[in-house]
Amino acid sequence: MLQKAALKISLAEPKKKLLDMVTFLKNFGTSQVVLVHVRTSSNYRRREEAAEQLSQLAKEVADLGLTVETTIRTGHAPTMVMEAAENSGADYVAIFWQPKALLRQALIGSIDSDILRMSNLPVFVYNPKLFKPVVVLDSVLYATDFKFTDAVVMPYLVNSRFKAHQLYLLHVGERAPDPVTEKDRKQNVLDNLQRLANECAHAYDQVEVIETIGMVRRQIIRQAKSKGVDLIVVGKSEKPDTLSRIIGSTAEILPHKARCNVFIIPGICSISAS
Amino acid sequence: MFKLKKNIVFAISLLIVLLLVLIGVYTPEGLDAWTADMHSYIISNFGWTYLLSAFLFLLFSLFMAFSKYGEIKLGGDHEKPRFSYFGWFSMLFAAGMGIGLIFWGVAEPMSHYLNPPAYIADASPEAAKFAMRYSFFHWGVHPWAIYIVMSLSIAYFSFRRGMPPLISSCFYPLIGDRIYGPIGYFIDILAVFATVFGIVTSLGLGALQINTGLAWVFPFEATYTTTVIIIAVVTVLFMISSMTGLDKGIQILSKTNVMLAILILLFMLFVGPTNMSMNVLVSTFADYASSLFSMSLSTNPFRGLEWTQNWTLFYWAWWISWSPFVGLFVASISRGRTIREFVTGALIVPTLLTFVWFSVFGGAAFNLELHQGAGIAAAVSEDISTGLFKLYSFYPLSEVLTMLTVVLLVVFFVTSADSATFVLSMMTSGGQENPPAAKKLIWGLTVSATAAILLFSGGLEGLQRMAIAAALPFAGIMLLLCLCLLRGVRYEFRKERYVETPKSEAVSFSQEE
Repeated sequence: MLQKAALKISLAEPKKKLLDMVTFLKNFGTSQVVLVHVRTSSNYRRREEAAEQLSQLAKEVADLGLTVETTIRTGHAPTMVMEAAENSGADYVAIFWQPKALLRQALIGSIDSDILRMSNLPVFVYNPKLFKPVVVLDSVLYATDFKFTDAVVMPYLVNSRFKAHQLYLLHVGERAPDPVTEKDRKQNVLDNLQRLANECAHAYDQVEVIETIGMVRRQIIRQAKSKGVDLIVVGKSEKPDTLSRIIGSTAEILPHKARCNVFIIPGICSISAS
Repeated sequence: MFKLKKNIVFAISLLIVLLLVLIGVYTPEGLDAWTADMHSYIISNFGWTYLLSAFLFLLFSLFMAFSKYGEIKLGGDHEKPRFSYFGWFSMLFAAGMGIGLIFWGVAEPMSHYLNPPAYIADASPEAAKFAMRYSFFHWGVHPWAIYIVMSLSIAYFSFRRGMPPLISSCFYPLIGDRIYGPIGYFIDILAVFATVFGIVTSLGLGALQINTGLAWVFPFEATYTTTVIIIAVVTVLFMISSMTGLDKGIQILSKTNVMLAILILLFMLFVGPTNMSMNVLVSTFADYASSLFSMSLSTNPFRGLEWTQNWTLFYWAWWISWSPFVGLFVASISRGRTIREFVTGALIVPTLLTFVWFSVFGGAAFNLELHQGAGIAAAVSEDISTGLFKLYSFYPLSEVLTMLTVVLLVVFFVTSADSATFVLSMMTSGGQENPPAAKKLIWGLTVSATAAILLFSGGLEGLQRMAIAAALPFAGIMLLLCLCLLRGVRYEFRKERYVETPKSEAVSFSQEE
């Protein structure tokens, strides 16, 4: 189900780390990649030059044991990447995340942020570490809200090609207004987390549930950091509230703040588990 | 150990009160100087926060009333209000304004008229207009918005969410179980502190005015001894009222009082210059309504800053320091009403009655002052408590009016002290709705004795400043209360009223082959 990935390539990525990312994708059971390069006014190369660089990169990716296709497009980068991914039948889009300048991001946005916002396909964001190559997927943290995203995300998490050893199931809630309701709420959350844990138990060596309260994005980042996870998996709501419309949803903000890889699965995504 | 923990708020508050009273007795000048410095520092540096907070409380109250949250009932969904509208409004009015309105009804417009800000000429038509507008402003919707924030929070968290009626309970959505620890104790102790000093000051000033009124009618000199006798008599009365419980005592007294107040008001309206009073009411209301926004946020940094600090900021701080007491009391009488009903009722009815009161008494005083040179303003500037009685002296049946006003003052005094005793006992008994009689007795005697002692030593003003100092942290506490209440009602709407069933429960996942 995550066999084919569409990789957005700007041709400015450090090659070694980009290849680490491709290696990491194999943890999801990915065996085919489409390298998508979009020529824009801000990232302009002659077609021949871009084709040559992309072809060189494709060879190195193929050496890692993956089937590679390449495509070069011209136009609005996020739209072209999405179009190429959909046309090539990719199961998800992969982005090599590079830190964004705060002011630039605020004023003109970024291609990656636009892809996160617009994509109807799952988006994987690879967050390279400065010194340590990240190629192994050991632990995953899934932040659930027990809503429809569970139905979309869980098939990915229990997929046998998803090669992680440890799964953390996290729920970040809102404290109830009184102690009695709070106790019930907590119990309800733990029951639901346990239910999800039971569903996933066969796919991991260890499944741990975490129940906490507070600001969702802050808690996800805090828990991911304290557990040292390699990947955060979140679902993306298709009905953002007013605040999310203004500052972006939790899923869209996480890649900016988290120091690890993030997998965002949109609610609209209806890829079956088979 | 358990008993001490249970009574920790009671023990610490009583200790602090007694300590400050001792300071007030032994070094009234020291207390006066210390509190004057603190008061001046707070008003100079944080005065604007009072204005801004009060305006935010008004906006918040209106939002709560007219948003979807307005339909939430302060109690169970099918609970009926405990008191009739008349009983409820009477108690609202008695607790919120009562004694102060009698005291300031004539005195405040006259005082502003004679001592307006520097940019307005004294005793001019502009000064009269300004005096009425600001009297409306100081006693209008803002004080009620302050009370509403406090009482709405307490009523929601105690009657709707089943928590003890304490201010600390309202903080559960924010700090969870830490409300049962030092943070919760601190909030409740601060509330007790503000209530005790507020009520002591109010009762001290009330006793002085009763004394003045009696001396106006009967041939005796108003001395400290007569004031102490008045305090003693009133203490006996409010302790009797307090022991009979909230349902009977305060309700009967408040209803009687409001009827008596309306009787005096109607007399003054129809026997006095009816046209003048109605003109004052209508034009001042228009003035008030059209300049509400600018008055709400005007600290007047370029002109009249000192006047604003002495009056508006003082009032705002005073209402905030009163809010734990009035808030708890108003919450306890508002069970079973919806948020919308509660906010609109508390915001409109007492405010309108206050406006009519100021227009009738202020209008009558201005009529005499402008047309007959009655010297009421001069009398007020000499002794504020004489203003009303001086006005009566120009009316027929002036002695009867004075006596009725003294009765009114006594009954307001009794209802305020009764409510305060009840609220203090409740706050220091972990929010018990029927606090022990012993605690009522202790707080009743403490309040009365403190008022009497400080009237003698001259530490009453110092105590009033202490109450105002307590208002600063309380303004912060109240802003957080808005957040807590919003979180509470939002949770109720999101998670309890329109529950989104987890769809995943219906989905079973199997490993892909």
